[in-house]
Amino acid sequence: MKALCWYGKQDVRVETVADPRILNPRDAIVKITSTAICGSDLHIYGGYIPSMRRGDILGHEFMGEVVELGSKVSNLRVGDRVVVPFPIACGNCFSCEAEMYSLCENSNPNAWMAEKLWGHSPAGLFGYSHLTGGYAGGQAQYARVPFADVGPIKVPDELSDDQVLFLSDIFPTGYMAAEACGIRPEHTVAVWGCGPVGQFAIRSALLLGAGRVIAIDRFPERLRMARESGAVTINYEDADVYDSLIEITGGLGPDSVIDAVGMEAHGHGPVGAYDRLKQALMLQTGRPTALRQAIRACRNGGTVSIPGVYGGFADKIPMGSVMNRALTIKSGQTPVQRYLRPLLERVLKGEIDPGFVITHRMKLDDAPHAYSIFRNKQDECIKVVLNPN
Amino acid sequence: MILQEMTYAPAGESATENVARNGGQPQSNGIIESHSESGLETATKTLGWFSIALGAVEFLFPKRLARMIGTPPKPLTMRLMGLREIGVGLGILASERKAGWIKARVAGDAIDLAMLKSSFDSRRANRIRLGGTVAGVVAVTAADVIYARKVAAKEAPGERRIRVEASMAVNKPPADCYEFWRDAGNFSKFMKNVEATRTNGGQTHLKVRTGLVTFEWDAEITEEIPNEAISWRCVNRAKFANSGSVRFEPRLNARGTNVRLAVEYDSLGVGLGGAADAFLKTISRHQARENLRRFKSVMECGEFPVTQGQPSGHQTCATRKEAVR
Repeated sequence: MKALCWYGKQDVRVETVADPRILNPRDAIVKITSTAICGSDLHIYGGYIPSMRRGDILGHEFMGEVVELGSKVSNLRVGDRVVVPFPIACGNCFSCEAEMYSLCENSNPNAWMAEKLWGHSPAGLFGYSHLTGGYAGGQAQYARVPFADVGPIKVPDELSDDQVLFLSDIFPTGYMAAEACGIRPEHTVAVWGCGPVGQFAIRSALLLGAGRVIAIDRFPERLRMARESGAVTINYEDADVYDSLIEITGGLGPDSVIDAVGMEAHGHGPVGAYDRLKQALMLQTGRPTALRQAIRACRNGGTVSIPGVYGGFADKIPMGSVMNRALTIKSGQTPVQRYLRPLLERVLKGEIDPGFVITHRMKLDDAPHAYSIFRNKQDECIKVVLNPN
Repeated sequence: MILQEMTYAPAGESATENVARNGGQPQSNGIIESHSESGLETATKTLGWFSIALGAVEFLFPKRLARMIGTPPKPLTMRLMGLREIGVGLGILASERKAGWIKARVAGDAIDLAMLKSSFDSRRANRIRLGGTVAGVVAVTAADVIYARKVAAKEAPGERRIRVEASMAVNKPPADCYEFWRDAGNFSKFMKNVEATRTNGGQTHLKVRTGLVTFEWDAEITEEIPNEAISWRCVNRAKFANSGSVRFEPRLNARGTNVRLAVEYDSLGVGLGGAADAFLKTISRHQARENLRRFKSVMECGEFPVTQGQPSGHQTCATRKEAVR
């Protein structure tokens, strides 16, 4: 089959590789009909995620048709149309029983590695480095899905791929980020980053009844999309973010703040240069510019929600601001399995059409080009969907 | 690969006794402690205190000492030598494995002798005093060599037991975990490269394939408390005398089981002052933990996660390079 493989910093290629096969009784093989490039894939593309190996197949947002089933998967049939959550979860361990699927204790074969770096291991993830399992990803024609009796959800035929594909990651991820804020009608929510996750965080915050959502970015097309969703926008190249937020909120600051940027934040001036230097010298793995801003801007006693991806260590997090002002920090890889059904309901009811975020459609063969324009924000690229078959 | 064997391999008196006497609280093996205070120990301690005393004098009164022993005054060098002596002395007194530290004394003696020899060429040296000093150092060196050998023989790795422990929380009741572990036929389901079969005599025959060598031995259960603990040891003292125990403790509020595995085996008996053992202990602890992790997965999910055999662009890339050549 054809698959998008990673070979190094900004070096991804579509290669012909072996077809996946069933390795465990609870596996399934899915023929992929739609797959997307996630903003978090750009961290791998940029070489910022440790423990990648040459030839690793990327991709963790995918859906398709079940073509083969392991002997112990009884809830699916060959031919079922399914969306696959990006975390792999067994459904049996303490964490899965508590619906913390992204912390599954059994799905990461390299758990010991993650334990060395992070203290404990989270769940295995598709196509996201060997720290989280080294599973082959879904930017390919076929993918092997472990614990297929727990993860994949069957989707009704009346919904198109575009409408359900993002249930695999970015819609639940943005939704969880908003949910973590404990939103009330009088609340103002500020969202750093208007990439795909930021867009879903904005829509979700509004769905959950936020009085006002403020979106922060610098790319006009992304700010435009945020405004179309109903947000007020700040272009941080035109205005000081802190001052603007203070002004809009009457001095209190936003009730909750969402960092949908993560480890490769774009920093200005000496501080930005300092972060880039430290990252280059491997003295930190993240450039937490957005997170620092978000913490400082958040109102006293508010919530800092972090769906943005961080890999290792980030420097100069203003803990004094967190502690003295009683902020709550919420974060985590999304336990997508928990959100599949409720969010599918919302799509079926027409409360949201997740396809709004798509700006580009390409064949799998063009994936390297897609990575390039997505990374460099060229051609007003916000979200790319690939068709591998 | 040796470690894999040890990790999986059964058996040991001390672990067994622990289970029986203390309800399973692990204790360290008593072999080393069994050597009581002896002449050798007193001599070793004397060496340690001698090092510290000499080091203190070297560090505090470098010039006066230099005059006494006839060397040209070099206070900085003398002080550094003093620190070295103090360090080695503390090592001898504080460490459980003293042989290495006494060997360090021998090495230090050699340095001292080399420096004394070079002092003879100095115009500021007192040759008569230097001669006496050299004689003294030679005598001390001889004593150090003798005791280094004696202590090393006492602490010989061949007599030591290495103990590795690991534990894992499993989301199944203790009875289920016990039941599964009790059946040797299940070993291959969670221990890498291990095959186990029951023999007629009620013992278990274990075979570990390491790729290069296959180890085989028989193990017998030495103690068993249903739903709580199993202890074993290898009966025919194979290449490594192994013993071990596994305990199944209910977690708080009956939320599953804490499975605790302890394995003991003979030291490798090869040198480097125990560095080889220490290194292998690290690996075998890892192996023990990984086996428990697989046990957990098999108990909870019926399988453990694998990625071997999945597609990757790595081979493609390699093939392509060959094609280009």
